[in-house]
Amino acid sequence: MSLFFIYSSLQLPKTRWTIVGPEVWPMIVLIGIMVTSFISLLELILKRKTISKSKSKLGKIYIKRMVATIIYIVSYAVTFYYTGFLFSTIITTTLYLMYVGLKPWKALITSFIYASFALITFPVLLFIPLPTGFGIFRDITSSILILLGR
Amino acid sequence: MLDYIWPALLNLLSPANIAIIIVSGFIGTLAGAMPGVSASAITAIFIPFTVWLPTDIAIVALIALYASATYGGSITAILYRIPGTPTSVMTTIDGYEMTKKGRSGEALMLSRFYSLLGGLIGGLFIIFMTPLFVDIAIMFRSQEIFALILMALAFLATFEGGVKALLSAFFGFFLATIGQDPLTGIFRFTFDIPLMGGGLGIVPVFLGLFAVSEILRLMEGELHPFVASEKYRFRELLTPSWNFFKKSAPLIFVIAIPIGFLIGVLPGVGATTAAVVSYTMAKGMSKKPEEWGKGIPEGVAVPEAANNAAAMGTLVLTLTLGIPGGATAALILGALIMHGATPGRYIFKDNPLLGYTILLGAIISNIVFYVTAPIVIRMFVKLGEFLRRNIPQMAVLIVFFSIIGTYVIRNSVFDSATVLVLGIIGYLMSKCKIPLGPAAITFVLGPLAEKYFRRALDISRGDFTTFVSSPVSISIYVLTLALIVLPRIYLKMKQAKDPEKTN
Repeated sequence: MSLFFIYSSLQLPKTRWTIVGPEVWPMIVLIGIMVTSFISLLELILKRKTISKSKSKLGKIYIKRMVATIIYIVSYAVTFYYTGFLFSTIITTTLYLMYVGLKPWKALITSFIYASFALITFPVLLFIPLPTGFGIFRDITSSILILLGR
Repeated sequence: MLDYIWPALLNLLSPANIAIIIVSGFIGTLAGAMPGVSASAITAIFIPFTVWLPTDIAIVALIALYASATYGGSITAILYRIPGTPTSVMTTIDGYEMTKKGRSGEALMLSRFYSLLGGLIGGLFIIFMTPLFVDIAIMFRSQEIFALILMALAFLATFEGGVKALLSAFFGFFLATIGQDPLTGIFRFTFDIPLMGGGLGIVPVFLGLFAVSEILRLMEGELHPFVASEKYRFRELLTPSWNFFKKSAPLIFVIAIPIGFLIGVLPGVGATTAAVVSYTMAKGMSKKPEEWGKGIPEGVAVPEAANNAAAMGTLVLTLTLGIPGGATAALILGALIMHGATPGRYIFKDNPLLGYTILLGAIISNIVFYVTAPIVIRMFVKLGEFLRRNIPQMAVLIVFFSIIGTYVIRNSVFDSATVLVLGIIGYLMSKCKIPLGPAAITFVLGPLAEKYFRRALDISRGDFTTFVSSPVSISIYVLTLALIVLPRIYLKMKQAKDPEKTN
């Protein structure tokens, strides 16, 4: 990766009005990354036996739950813009909490609490607008905001 | 000067003005505790609402917001490992470790007390030592500021975990190079994606590295935060013990507050760098540097005292020369101009009452947020107690704060993607035992390091000896070397004298 970015740095256009061009600092940094990575790798190889022993002590890693968490973050970030913050928070959070083992009513209440917190704190108290989404989502969120005086 | 201090104090202590400061302090603390709502953001949001206030009170209200938001950032940093504002990134390191040990109440108290101390002494510095500090700051040229940054890097490598800390530090520097080069305007590593032109935002990077990676660690089942149960008795936790105060006094009064204030005075450096440099220096000076990062109370006290002293320091150049010391100081400067005042030394010449009201207001606002903070802390602690027993809900809350916090800064989809990508990288780094702190620190220092590095070389026509040509930079290098080497020599000598006790 560092080599690729060093190559990209070398492709940057040169400037006549500065002695140190825009490529110099990134190259120093990338060489630093390469050198420190190499030394870390050497250390890792030298300590390989110790690491393989400690690895077995880590226990069960919940891969499915981690993947679900990543999917939840991605879907929350994406739906945040299209359905607005209210619906995005309620829908994705409820589904995720149900997946990780919460009872549906508990998941729904938690999502409602977070969505209400966002609604009251940001657009109402701090005057920070949050996305209201498109179509019907925007209409509903806007109506709620109007009811709250925003 | 004293002729103006008394009338300024009377003006500030009117019930209406105190009420305005209290409201600003409360909002600032609450906003600072919300990840993503930086001190600059909250100051910017409230500038329009100060138009109807008299100039002096408007500026004091903004300073109260700034100071209290700087403190508020430490609440979520301690409880959830999410720095509410970039200035509290160093508080995250030991504050969260204290929370994991069931000492969050103590960490919150320390943060509150030392924020007040830093702010108060910083405020007194502004009043009595402004001319002196302006002279010192003007002496710092590009190579000297670069030397200060190298000093921070040297301390990171020495005390944060050797080569892996350096790797993390270089990674942070690299992240900071993405986007438009500030000196030439050339785009670097943006792959023709327009959204990447502005570079990576500080909030998405921090939220990704610290918050999202934390969620992934939580959900893999390896880490269990908030293991200890704790009862919060705020009456017992109003001030630190006399023993701790005495023990930490050299670090606070010799390093955190003076260094923090001095860095705050330097134009464009700011409170985050102050917290970073003072933390690393204090760690270097400490008798037990290996305990730092594992939940040592000094690790909360030092950065909090430093960032609040720096918040005061940034006002020095703003008010005396009209040069903002940081982003928020620039906003306060804009508000002054908006109110028809002329910033610069003429404030003290033409309208000294205004000048001293602002300076005294900075001190009073620190006292006000000391009073308002427990209410906000109680809210967050109650929430913390609930989340301690409900990890999935906490994971969701962190995602919720991260996405909303990212959105409110730039309204950008790219920032949300940054949070996710850096969250995964941060998770992988922590799995490889690479510390995340250095990357976050150098991401903040990166643009400054590059700017001063290139500027120094441009001025010297490419001569690298410029970095060791001035007495100030040589002094900084010598001091760095001394702070790294001397504690080791001291320890070796102590070990030779009394091997059992030292072990």
